[in-house]
Parts: sequence; C-alpha cells; structure tokens
Amino acid sequence: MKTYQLEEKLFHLNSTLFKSSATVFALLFIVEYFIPGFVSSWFNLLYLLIIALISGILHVLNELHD
Amino acid sequence: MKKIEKIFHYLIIAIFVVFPLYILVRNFPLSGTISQSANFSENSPFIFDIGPDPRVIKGPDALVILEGPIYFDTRVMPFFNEVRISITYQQRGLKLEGLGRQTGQGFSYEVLKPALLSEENGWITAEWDIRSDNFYTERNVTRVLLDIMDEAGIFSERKHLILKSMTITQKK
Repeated sequence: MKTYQLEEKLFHLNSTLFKSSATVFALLFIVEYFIPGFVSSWFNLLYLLIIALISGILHVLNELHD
Repeated sequence: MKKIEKIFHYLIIAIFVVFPLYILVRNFPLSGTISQSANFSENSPFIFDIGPDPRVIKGPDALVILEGPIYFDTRVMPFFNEVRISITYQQRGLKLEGLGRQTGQGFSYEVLKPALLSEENGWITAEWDIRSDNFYTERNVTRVLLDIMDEAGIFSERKHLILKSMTITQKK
C-alpha cells in the first residue's frame, strides 16, 4: 500500500517535471528560432530536451501501466 | 508526506520559471554589456571556429598564427549597438595589419585599422569599435578576418604571431 502511494506521488512529480520542462523547452526553442543565439549562447537546449523526453516517456509508461 | 510532495512540486515549477528569467538576464545584463574572452583551444559561445587549422596552432592560453589571414566567427546580438574587439598579441615576424568586418556574403571584408593601439611588456593591444549594424550577419553570426602580413625586413622561416587574448564586448 505504501509502495503504491509512493509510486503515485513520484508519478505526479514526474508529470509536473514533464509538463514544466516540455513547456519551457518549447518556449525557449521558439525564442531561439526567431533570435538565434538568445538561448544557445548560454545554454544547450539539448539538455532540456533530454529531461523532457525522459520524463515524457516515464509519464506515458505510467499512463499505460494504469 | 503531502507537504513534502507539495514542496517538491512547487520546487520543480519554480526551477522552470526561474530558468527562462536567467536566460533573459544573461541577454539583457544590468550593466548593458556582454563581454567574453576567447578560449583558443575550444569554441566559446561568442568566439568560435578560429582557423583555418593549418595556419594556426591552438593552445589553452594562446593562439600561434603561422600564416595570415585567419578568421573566426562571432555572434552579434541585434539588441546591442556596438561591438568592441580587443586583441593582445606579439609580433614575431608577422604583423597584424587590421581586422576585417564581413560586409556581404562570401569573401567580402572591409579591413579596419585599430582605433586604439597600446604596448606593454612587448605585448601589443589593439582595439576596434564597430557598430553592430555594420556587420553582415547570418542568423546573428558574422565572420571576422584578421589581416596578417609579413613584417618588413624580417626574413625567417619561423615567422609567427602570438595571440595572448581576444575579448569581444557588446554594448548598448
């Protein structure tokens, strides 16, 4: 029961992580497209994409599992 | 437990709210200037692709130029009005004649003499102030040429020029 509760909490946290990282990635990607160098001069967007992808995959797997 | 979960939840959201603000502040610093020095052994966000390779030897602290001209790419952000390029170098048979700003596609450069030239302990510092709209840019990247010639009267097979530092400052 406790394990199930912890899993559910982690699922919610991962869901937040996925939504936040995907939103910020999309926002920064659009800014970078219109103003080249605005983001990429300071940060490699690939890292954010990796976070969004991994949390997204976990989110989908959890949804399927339920 | 619920409280901890909420804290983590808000922490994640806070990180992703603060992060775009950090990018914004980096682009629009309070000082109004962005300054970056070249690391000759690897590309930096504002100074990159120094070359061509057979003409230069890249080290962490210096760049040895064996033959001119050489080029590098730099990023010119549209919200800055002026670009100052500062180069500290030592001439050993090769002379830095000027800095060429790209004026159009392909090989079209206007070579400019330094606005300021000073010498200290055998190292020469040259500075150029160029209006950022005078650069030809593609996706905010422009190519800069360093016009390097043989020093008159020096006949040596080991002629070279040592670049100790190169700083690009963009200001409003």
